Amino acid sequence: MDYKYIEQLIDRYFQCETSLQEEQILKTFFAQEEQDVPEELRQYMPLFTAMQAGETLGNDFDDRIMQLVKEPTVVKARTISLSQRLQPLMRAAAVVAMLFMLGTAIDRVIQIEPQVGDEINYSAYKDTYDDPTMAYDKVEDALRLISDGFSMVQRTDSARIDSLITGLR
Amino acid sequence: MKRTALLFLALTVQMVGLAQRSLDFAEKFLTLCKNDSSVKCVTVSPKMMEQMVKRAADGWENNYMQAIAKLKSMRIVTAAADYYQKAEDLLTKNNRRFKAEQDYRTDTQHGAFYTRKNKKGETVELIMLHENCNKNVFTIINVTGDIDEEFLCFLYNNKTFKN
Repeated sequence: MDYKYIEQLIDRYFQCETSLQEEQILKTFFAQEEQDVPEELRQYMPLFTAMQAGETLGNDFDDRIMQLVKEPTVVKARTISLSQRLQPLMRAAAVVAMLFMLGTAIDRVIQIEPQVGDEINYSAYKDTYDDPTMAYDKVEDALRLISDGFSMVQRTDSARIDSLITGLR
Repeated sequence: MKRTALLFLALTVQMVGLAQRSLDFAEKFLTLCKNDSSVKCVTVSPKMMEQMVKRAADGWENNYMQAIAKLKSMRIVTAAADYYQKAEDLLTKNNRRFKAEQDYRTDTQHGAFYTRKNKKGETVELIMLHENCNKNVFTIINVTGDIDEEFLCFLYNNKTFKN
């Protein structure tokens, strides 16, 4: 059997060139039993059978849609109090306050704790003198002053320097 | 989740900032009087200390090298006499970090020693407050390093190490 006419109709259908009568021919053709339809055309069967079985839009379809579209939507008015309005601001302030309090608490703990074993950041030291001889003079003067201080402690109370040394042991 | 992460981040940043804030006493004191240009500070860094020790090893004769070899750094702060009380107050405020040791008083001068120990109980910082009443000068000597018995004895016993 020659199905050239049906194939032509299908081609025209997909190019939207078919008339209503021609589409009816296609629907009738694909409405027959599956085994009667050639294998190469079976792929189009679901399309045309579905079209035949499908519900058609009623005459009142346009009216119903228009009614739905025109129906006024109800917008409920909501009263927002000042506290609600300021809530984001208050939240932000609370977070800042919390961070500040935590920071202060940590700072205080660090100040109170003896901080034993902490290393001094020597990299921040900037030498006053570039010349070791000049630096040495200052260091020597300072060590002499410390030495004098020890002597004065001894003069104040000779026993006290011993306790200092004992304390450092 | 986002908020917790931000909070954690902020705390971490703050903690890191605080952890890095490890100052010797002189540095702490200088922050109190940073607007006063009459307050002078001489800094001898560990690098300079090393250079001095190296020079001594090369034959540079000096009296205090045995003590200097034990030091890491030195800071000498000079200011008007009225800063003595401020320095003492700062030390008292940080009394868990700096321990008051001995003090002395004569007709013309007075002073006090403070120390700081590390975790092992070793003294790593020695602070001397000294006021010369006649000259109206206040001096802070802040040394860090190995402030052990040997170092103290050297300064105390006429610059000779105790055997």
